[in-house]
Amino acid sequence: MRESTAPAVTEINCFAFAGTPDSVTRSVYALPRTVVQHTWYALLVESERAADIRVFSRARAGDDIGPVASWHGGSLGALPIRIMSLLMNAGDGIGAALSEHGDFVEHGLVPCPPTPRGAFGHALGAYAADRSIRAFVIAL
Amino acid sequence: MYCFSGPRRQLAVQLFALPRDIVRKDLVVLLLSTDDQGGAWMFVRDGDLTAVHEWQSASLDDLPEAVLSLLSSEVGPADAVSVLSGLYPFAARPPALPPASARGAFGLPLDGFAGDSARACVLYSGAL
Repeated sequence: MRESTAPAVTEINCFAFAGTPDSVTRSVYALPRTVVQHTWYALLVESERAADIRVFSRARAGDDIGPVASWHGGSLGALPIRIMSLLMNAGDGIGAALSEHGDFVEHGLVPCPPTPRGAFGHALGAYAADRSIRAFVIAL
Repeated sequence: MYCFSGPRRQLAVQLFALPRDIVRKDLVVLLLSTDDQGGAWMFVRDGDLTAVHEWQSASLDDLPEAVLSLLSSEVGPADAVSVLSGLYPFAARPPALPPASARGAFGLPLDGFAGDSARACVLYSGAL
């Protein structure tokens, strides 16, 4: 994933939820639509067996299409704690922290989803059978 | 967990719009920081009352990581308060009626922070 896709940080929103897949999914879907209108936003999700990261970006606010990249692995490790530390200390470097977590697969340009459900539903659906999950949504 | 960073006025709007049931959790932690100011408030439910533990300094140091680690673990609210109070010199206020809203809980702490922009995180037990 190209680090340059993360914009200069002037405003950050970050949300985290834990619990059953159903309750976490409902909480993520209930996030304001403005989250997916940012020029860079990401979903991090993990359970006991797996973890996924989806990064969405667009060149300019209001663009209809933008690149998507994803990572799949066994665990988010210390990434959530690192992101929180960066967030409470000026916020720079969050995009880089994600990039350094592993090798991302680039999915090319895709239509920008209009809602959190559209953006994150597919990734969260892969965890529907897990006992409990944690999800983080970050928007820069 | 809800975290916001940006212009202070916008930050206040986002914090005050948080769901009311958050401030009724057994333990709610508010972290605030600017470039030269940091503070943490623990709202601890004690029956019908809420005790507020407060700590302020020039920066948050490693407190955000400690809070997230504790609230992500199996540690209960009382133990989390005990651990955090051991790490940082929180001052405890006498228990009082619980805040009725996010504005009621977070308004006063935010008022004490100067500057055009700030960062805030609200974490609560059972959420991570």
